[in-house]
Amino acid sequence: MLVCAPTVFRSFKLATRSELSGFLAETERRAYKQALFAVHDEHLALDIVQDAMLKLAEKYGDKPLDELPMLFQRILQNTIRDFYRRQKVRSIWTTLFSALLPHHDEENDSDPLEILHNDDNPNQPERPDGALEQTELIRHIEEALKNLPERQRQAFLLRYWEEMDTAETAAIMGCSEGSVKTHCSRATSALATALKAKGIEL
Amino acid sequence: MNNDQFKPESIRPILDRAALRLEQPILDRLHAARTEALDRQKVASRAHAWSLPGNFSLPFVHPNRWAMATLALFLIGGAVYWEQLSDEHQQAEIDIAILTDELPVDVYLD
Repeated sequence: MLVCAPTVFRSFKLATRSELSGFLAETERRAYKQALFAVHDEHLALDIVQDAMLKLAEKYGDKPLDELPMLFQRILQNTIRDFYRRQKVRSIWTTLFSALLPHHDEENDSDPLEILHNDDNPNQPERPDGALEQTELIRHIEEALKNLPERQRQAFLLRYWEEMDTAETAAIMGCSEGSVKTHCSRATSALATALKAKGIEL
Repeated sequence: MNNDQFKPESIRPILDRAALRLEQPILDRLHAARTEALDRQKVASRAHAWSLPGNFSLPFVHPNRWAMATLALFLIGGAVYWEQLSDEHQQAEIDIAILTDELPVDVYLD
């Protein structure tokens, strides 16, 4: 007698289009900021984030949702590293050619009066103190982060902004957990010193 | 401020606030990048698997292939059925001819 065995439909938790969209929407601003801290140029930072998003969707768009944060961070960090490599090659050529071209000092073209801030001028628009303090705090912290060495900033942001653990950070950065701890410790110390110099306490 | 008192976790909410203050042109470009990425999302190749109780399991086959296989099965089945039907029809015609004693000459030629 033929017995029809019940079939069990087993499905894996893979990222759907809306889930991937939600993940990217939640991550893209931080990713842009990370890229901006690294390359100091808005357009380049946007290009880097766009490249990372495309690579994630094209190559790993069928992966489970919970694997996406690590994959995306790994792709993003690699894309930033590729940028540094290209920039290094470009700077060699620029240095070679700039020696042959006539020197043009752009600083002489700007009028210092255009950017001079006059505290005694009552006609200047008043700025709200609370918002200004917040903006200043953000500016100082971002400046301090930009000035960190690349690997220290990478480790620090992955650990304390992306909330990756040490093992995940090590996997993304392609180094040992010990190195991650060292990078984070140095970054924390450098940030504390830089912010202290600005009179900021956190 | 003592460096030992500095808590790196305290930077997170400040950076989050900074990320919320991005200008509209940047947000527009990020949105465009996200949309393009979603349009190129890789479709799952092994999204599901049919499994039977015990250690038996059927390998995953894409739904389109199942549909093609089913269609092919129907076509083959239909062709075989049609062939049998026409044979039966011929047989019935001969039976009627025998009964009515109107057999064609061809029958005696075999």
